[in-house]
Amino acid sequence: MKENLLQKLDPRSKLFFSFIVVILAIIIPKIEYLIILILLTLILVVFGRSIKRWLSYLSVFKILIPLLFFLNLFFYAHGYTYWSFEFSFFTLAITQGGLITSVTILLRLFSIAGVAALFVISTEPVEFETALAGLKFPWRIAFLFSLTLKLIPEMKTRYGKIKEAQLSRGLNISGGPIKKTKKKLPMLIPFLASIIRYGYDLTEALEARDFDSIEKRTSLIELTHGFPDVLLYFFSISIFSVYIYINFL
Amino acid sequence: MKAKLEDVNFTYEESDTKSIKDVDLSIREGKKYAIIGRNGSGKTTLLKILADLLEPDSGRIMFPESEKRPEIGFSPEDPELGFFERTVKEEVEFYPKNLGLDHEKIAEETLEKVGISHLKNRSPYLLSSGQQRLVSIASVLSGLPDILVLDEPTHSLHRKGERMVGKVLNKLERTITFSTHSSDFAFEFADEVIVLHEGRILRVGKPREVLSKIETLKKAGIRTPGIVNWTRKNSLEIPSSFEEAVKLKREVED
Repeated sequence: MKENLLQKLDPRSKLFFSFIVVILAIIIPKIEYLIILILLTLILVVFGRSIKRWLSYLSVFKILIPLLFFLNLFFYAHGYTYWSFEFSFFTLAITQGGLITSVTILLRLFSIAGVAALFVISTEPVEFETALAGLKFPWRIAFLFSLTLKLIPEMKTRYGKIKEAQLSRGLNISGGPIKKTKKKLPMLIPFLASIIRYGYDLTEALEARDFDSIEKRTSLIELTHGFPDVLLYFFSISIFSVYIYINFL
Repeated sequence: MKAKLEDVNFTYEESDTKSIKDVDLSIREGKKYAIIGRNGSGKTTLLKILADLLEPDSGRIMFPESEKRPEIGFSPEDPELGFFERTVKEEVEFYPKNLGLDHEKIAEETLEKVGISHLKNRSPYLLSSGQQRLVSIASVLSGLPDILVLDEPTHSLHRKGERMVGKVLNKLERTITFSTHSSDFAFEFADEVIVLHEGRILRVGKPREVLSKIETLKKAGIRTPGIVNWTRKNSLEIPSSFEEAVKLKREVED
């Protein structure tokens, strides 16, 4: 059931907004503009009352974000040096250039991940598939994309269930990173087995429904644009135009 | 009393509505409790709270008889999700190994108790649903838990498979809490039935008392047990246990 306005929006308008945000995230070089871009996405998330779910999808980046930050901080070191430490064969330094580069890359990643998470939490995979097919994408490609969208929460659920099953049998996953990884092996094997089985089940289900034989497919879902969709298109074009006007005209 | 839940509430992160609402429940030593209700009524959530896999938003879980939290073993609805070892025996050894117990001896005893010693060298993935369920129960039982928590132990089993699992549960002499959709299974194998509806407990009591209340069953979306229907049809008093029901049926048929 569609609970909020964000879910009620046509997937094509959300796709257009996401596309604009991704383009802007790639071309914007300034930290302040990237922050504004994230805030604009956040407004939609708050508007859709989905902040908890949005954050839970972004939580997968909690390891990647500090890792990327420190890698970029030290490997793109240039400009004024705030702090440095000399090892025998290389120097580790925090510089103004390194800091700006790492924050920019992080914000860029966060804007793209944020808008992708917004799309995933507010769009049913089957609607996404219909939207892509409506945009003249080959049906197989549309199906593949929707399947990917479906697989993310499915994998999350399966991993959660496996983790619960092992933790309740006395598995202790505390300790250092290597120890932790080694201890997580009892979760990895059933997880892989479960995903492979899911693949087989899916193949069987598709074959049983004559996946290969139908040339022109029809859909039960009819997508229609409403007034909020028009507003979202307008909003997307506006933010793109404003950025182009400020920077290039 | 083994465990006591007091005013427990729980809401999933991605949901706005409570999955468990103001639940008060007492779990007594050595008894078997069946949690029954339709899909989404909160059965699995309640079991996971009891098994310490979910933390309630409010309320308390107390263990009046033990100073520290007792060992609680949880068997998931899909037993395959917990399997990862090559053989059934290794699977059953996993829990006692984690607890630093004599895993080989305990595993042998557990396999014997559950009646699956003949499967010990087989891959758990290649067994039938009923056998997998028994392996899952054995793999949790081998940790010698104080409370055994089983999520849908009869899921995808036919009546014969259900009874096979039920008979194993009867032999275990432990405090067991399980969820089920089958009112027949609950009537036959539970000491107490807990009816859940939209996260709230509708009724708790002996199977005979609870599973004969048509209004309660209707509200909770539970099918009336076959034995209750049969006694009603023959204008007889509902028997207090499954054994009595069998005896009664034989008498009527003779």
